[in-house]
Amino acid sequence: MLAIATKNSFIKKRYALTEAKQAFIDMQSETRERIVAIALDFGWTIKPNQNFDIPFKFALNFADYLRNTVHLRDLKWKLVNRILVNGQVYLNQKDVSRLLQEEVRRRIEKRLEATELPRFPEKITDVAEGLLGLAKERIGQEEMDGFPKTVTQSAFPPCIVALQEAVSKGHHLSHVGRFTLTSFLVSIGMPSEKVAELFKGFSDFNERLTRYQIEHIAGERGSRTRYTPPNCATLQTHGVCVKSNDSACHGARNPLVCYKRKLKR
Amino acid sequence: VIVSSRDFVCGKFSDFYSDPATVIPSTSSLGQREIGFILFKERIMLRHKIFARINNLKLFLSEAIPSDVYRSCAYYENPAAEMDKKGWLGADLVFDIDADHIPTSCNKLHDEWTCKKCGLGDKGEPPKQCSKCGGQKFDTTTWVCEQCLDSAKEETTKLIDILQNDFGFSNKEMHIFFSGHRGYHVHVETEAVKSLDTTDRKEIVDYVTGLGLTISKRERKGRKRKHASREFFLSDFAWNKRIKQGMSKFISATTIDELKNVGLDSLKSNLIFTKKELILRKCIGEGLWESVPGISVGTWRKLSEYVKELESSKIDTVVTTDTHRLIRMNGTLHGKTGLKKVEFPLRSLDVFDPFKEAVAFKEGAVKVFVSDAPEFRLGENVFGPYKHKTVELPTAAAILLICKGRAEVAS
Repeated sequence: MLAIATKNSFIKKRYALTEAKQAFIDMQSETRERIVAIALDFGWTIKPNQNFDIPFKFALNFADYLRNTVHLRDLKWKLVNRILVNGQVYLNQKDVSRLLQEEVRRRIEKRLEATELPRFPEKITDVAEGLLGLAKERIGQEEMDGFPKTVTQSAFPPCIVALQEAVSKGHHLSHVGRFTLTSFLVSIGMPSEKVAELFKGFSDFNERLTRYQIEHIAGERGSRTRYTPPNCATLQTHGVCVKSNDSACHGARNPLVCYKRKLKR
Repeated sequence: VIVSSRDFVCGKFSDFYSDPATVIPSTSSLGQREIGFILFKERIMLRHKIFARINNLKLFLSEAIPSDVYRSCAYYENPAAEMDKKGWLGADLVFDIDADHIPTSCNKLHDEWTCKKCGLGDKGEPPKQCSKCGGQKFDTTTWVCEQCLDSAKEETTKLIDILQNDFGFSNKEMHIFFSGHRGYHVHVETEAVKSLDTTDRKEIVDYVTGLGLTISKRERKGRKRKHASREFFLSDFAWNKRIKQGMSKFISATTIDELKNVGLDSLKSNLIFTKKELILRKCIGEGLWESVPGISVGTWRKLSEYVKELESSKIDTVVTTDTHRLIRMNGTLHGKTGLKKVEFPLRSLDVFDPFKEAVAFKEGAVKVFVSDAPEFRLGENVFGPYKHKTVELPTAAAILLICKGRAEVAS
């Protein structure tokens, strides 16, 4: 109730995460049957492993596995590093509990989303406001900061530098490559006209079309969604990532993170 | 009467779609899919169309005469609406394997490039930079040969193996097609994949291409590993099994030169080559990876990385992750070849002959002037090579050459 009363998404998320983490710890000492029962409650297709050649306790449908691992960054969670046989991912209890933690977190977050709020007693609102104040202190400036107004070429991430180079030489760029470059430049505040100039070297350049597409990505047209560049993992999948040794890349989730880090140097 | 080549092809496409004998196989849930076309005459893309029945679509095709016909992999509440108002209900899981994306044994020597700046040209794939003037823009003409399609077929075979054994898709859930040009399509149609989002599909792509695969160390409970670097372990499941089997296959057939390609120095390459039998039996067979002196964990990791590239399937990553993708409609003609996209049973992938099964035009002949074409085969007949020559060819062969920009209708 307190978390709802703060009406702050950061606090709500933090609360949900903490509860979910506790659930993770508790679930590790539950019986196999209980774990299966909890998982079934979340709609999973899961069963105790009956294949004794495979040394794991559970067999989970791969689609349920994927849905609950998208936010987990450690390479060990990648499907390619799992035992996937006949559509089933084989897991131990700790891993299943970790995936259930994701479900618990989402369920709590959803329940905290209440839009119609009752009038809370004064005591509650007082505490909630106190929490809100604390949170604002803790979140700090960094999260609130956007990007500076000027575009700093020297802080571009390696993948963007490579794309830019390819563009300037008139090399063919894949659709993903063009989208990454455009959304990156637009996100760090480069005006659409300047971005369009970059693409002039292409043999299939069409000024009207290019402007239209860039404005679309910038959220100035159509659905009004402003697109950010794809995450690093996606860029790897499509071969846009240049696998650089740049320390600013290390552990970054998105090219924008890398740019931010390099700006601070 | 002088007929332009494009009018000729357009006329033939029109005949094909109006012929009562032409059957366009139905697509599941057709009414929930978006249909799109490229029109011959206007060369524009018509999108957001909807057809309740395959017969209505066929009638439309015979009137509009498109050069290419597409349908969405996605199911929508309202397929005719604008993109963000369509109401996405789910999508099939699709894979595209195109010879364009994979190295082939023919080295694409049938393709040609010309530098836009100085006019220098040669066979094969265009270089990064023109050797004469340094120009970086090229005009290219491509061809589609048996070796290209064989390479694509190999990649498809590997893909099917992964989808069947690892993902557990049944033969009923998987549909396999020749695309009508340079490759194959695999569609997985089943409830379990419909609701997967882009991120989930990206993970499936990474699985198929082996991206992010890390060979794990055997976990030991209780005590800390003393020599973490001295451990290498492959289990008998999923990708581990694939690497293990691939490694056996690779080592038993390898040459010293190929081992050098792996990135091993000549000492190690020689060692592996001369101790092949021992390595196969002890290391791979019995899992005693470090039992042959001189072959360290580092060597095994390099070999795994190399074998992974051999065993992964080179799919077009963008197609699979796109949940709104339009893909060529089964049974329709490809504007770049005049061949049909055709479905065939999974079990006949080995023997499937695209240059026979996909031929749409089986009657008539026409005189064409061929500028340049390598030897090629359609059905049982072999044609060419031709250079600056006027020849009378069966309709299908003539259309293929015209569509690939290698011939014109002779006046």
